[in-house]
Amino acid sequence: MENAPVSGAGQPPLVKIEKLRKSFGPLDVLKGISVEVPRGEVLALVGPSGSGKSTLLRCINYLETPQAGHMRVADVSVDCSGPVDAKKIRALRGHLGMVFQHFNLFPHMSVLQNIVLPQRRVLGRSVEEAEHIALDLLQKVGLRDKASASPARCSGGQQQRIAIARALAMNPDVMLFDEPTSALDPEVGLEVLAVMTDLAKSGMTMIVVTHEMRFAERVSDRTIFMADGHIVEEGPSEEVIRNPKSERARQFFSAVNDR
Amino acid sequence: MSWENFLILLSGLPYTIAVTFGALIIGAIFGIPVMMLRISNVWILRTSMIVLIALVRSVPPIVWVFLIFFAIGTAIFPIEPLPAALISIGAIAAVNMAEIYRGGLAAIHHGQAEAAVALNLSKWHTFKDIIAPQVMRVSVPLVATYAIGLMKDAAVASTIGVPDLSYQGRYVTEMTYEGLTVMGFVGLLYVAISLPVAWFSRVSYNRLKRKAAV
Repeated sequence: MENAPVSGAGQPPLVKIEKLRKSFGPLDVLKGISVEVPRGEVLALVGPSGSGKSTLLRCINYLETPQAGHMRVADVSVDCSGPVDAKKIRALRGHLGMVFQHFNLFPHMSVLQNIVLPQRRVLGRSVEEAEHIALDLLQKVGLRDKASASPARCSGGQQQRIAIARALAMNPDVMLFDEPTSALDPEVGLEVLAVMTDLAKSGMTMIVVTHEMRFAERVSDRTIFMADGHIVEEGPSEEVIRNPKSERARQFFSAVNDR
Repeated sequence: MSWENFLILLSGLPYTIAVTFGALIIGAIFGIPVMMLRISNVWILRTSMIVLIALVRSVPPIVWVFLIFFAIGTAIFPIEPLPAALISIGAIAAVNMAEIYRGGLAAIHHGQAEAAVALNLSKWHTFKDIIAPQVMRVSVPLVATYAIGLMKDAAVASTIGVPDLSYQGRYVTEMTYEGLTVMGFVGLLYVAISLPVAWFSRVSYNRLKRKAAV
């Protein structure tokens, strides 16, 4: 990666979210969330289910439409309080890669095609270039030999690594991970976490919704603990996870750390 | 039954196949826009398709065939039996295919479209490259099963004079009074077309199940 991790000093943050609100009907899921992510940071979003962490992630690339607030990713600024131009949303998504809990590989294409097709359709790359990039990324996630296989012939852990490669092929500035190991056996989850750790070391900016506290503690620079649509606590990961200040966070971490 | 009469029966076979597969192809093509309108966000489009689908399905094929043939034929412009049969049975096939596609669409995990959106694929490419091929794939066994039902519906084309298997069967019966033998042969010929289609349906279903099970 050409972008060395920087602490953000003197540089505007790569992602800036201000007072973001989202409700599903009468249910307020995000009650005014503000987050800044400098380039190169790995940010973990943790909290109980229903806390709004996945919704926040999905609002960043407009898989969910927020109702109020402001957002900026790289050079794309979005006022979320009104309707947003489709072009602008596509520009926003162009900066963002997304990895889903259930991988969502396209089952009717080979592993290679999964990575090649979006590059061809969205970035207009040639077949040769797209395949070269795809094979290179498959090599990086340790699955070069699976290129011509069907996704159905790959294990869950392999599918998730392929999904990471597919997202990376689009040259995102920020990678969003939505509980990437929650659908996997703990053992298989480790191989996905290893790939994510490598990615973090390479300087990629990452926002990771996770229940993997060890990963959050060791790999992420900063952890945000969310509950009931609010940010309850944020800070350096080890501090937030080991010595949470609020009662709500203490409850949560003592429960998950006991497991 | 004489050899000549058997040949007369056989001459109906191409018409039965033409009406069946012609209607199936018409249905496979026009089923796509019907399904798209059926799931449209626009209330009036969606509702009018719900009404149309219910209407087409609740009237027997024989009535539609007569309606198209006589209503259009006498009131608007003269129409040959074969095109009239293709239009009416094709229309029936279109609404049924639309419902098969809709079922196939519902079977596709919403994560597929989400992944396509997150990768920034356009709506058209998401449909063409991601959704449609998967809908087609899950629809194949159902379409094959439906083709057998359609072949039986296609027999009503004989009532407006399409010289298909049923038509020739009745014709030879009236000439020879050997109804049992003649219609027995007609039945066997229908079975001969259905069996390979049924076999194809089963094979494609098993293949699909195997792929989904891994």
